[in-house]
Amino acid sequence: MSYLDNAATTWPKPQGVARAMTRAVEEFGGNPGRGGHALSVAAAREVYACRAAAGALLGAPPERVIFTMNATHALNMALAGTLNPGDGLIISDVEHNAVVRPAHALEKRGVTVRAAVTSAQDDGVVLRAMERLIDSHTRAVAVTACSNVTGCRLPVRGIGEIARRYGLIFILDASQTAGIQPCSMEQDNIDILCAPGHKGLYGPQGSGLMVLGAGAPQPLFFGGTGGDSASPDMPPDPPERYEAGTPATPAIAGLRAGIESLAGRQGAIAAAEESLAACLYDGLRRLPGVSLYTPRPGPGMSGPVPFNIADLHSERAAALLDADGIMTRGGQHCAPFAHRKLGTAARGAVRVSFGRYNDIRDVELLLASVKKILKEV
Amino acid sequence: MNRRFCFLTTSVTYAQKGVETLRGIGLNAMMVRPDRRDGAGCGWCVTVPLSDSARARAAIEGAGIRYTDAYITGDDI
Repeated sequence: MSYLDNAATTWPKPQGVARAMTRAVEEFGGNPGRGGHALSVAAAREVYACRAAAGALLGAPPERVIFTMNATHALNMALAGTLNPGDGLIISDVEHNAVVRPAHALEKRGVTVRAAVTSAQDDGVVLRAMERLIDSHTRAVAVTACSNVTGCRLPVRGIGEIARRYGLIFILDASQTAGIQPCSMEQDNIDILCAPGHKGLYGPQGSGLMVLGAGAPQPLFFGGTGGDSASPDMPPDPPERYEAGTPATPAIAGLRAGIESLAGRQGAIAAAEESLAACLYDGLRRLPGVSLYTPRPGPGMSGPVPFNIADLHSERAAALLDADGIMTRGGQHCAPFAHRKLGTAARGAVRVSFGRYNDIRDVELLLASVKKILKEV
Repeated sequence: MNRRFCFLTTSVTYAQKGVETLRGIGLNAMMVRPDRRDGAGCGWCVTVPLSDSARARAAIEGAGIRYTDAYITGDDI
């Protein structure tokens, strides 16, 4: 079996993740921050420890790390909490629906949304496009750090510099890079970073983060937080301002274990994944009948490799690979604009995405299976 | 009687950051639920020995931890 769908969610998880979650359920199942009893305090300590671990990784103090269900949840909070009717928003032309759909919903409420053209070959393309799109109504920029389809990394620091220069709020979708590629909230001028817990951070599904730099969106959810209870308003300060209701302590405990498992390994994991992606790319390029759509993985390109086999629909090709025990993902990967850009809107593409537990044998298995499929079709 | 000084924070997050900050400079800091009826609703107290209150206040403010009240607790904690 070969799991090559890590851009959707990483698997397997480090052993400590399941242990931490079990421990949270069995040993300190109190409601964090609500009561003063031992189990509530123990749960609150676990939650705080995860904030501290995530903050240390992403360059933010613990109190500016907000727990969400996933990156989509965080992006909805960031976008809808920041933009009002009459405001302008700039996104890119390779965004995931996690950005596109909330942006479209805001468009219906009077927010102007414009997409800047990206280029896998030239970072300057998107930077120049963004500057051209900025006008007096523009309030925010929301982009992915790396396309979940093409693996093309956007120039986060350059976009942050533009945001700073024009006084815009910079919202970064770090779904494909958090835990894999280093970033600095301060140096990259990121006002709000949104990330899933279950991808490069190796936490469980149901965990996500909204990390605040200078950003201060309005809260979207209202309810109990365990403090300031006499006030009908949400607390003025993060994280509780954005965390109405009981947090998912077991998921947060698992996320902490995932983050801590990355300690000192981020660079090596990223390099290994890039190397595997390059090996796969080279192997696929040698196979007549395989279509590749992106530049070879390397500097500026990482993560997934999209391809197609002969004239097969990508879902059919993915099913044939699955029959050989190789798990990839066909279709449009919730990013229809990226597929339109690649020219793969009609049949999608097979996407291979590596994680820290893959090795060269996974590449060999996949190439052998693709060769077999090519013979059969 | 070893009376303590309480900084009333608005959430368990800031209380924990407060305790971490104060322990980091060697103070005997603790986190407790306040028992004062001030009408503010629930919160969390970061307490230190009364004799350390000035040092604690400087450290807490230096760390940017907002507190809504500060007072001498009535009991040993």
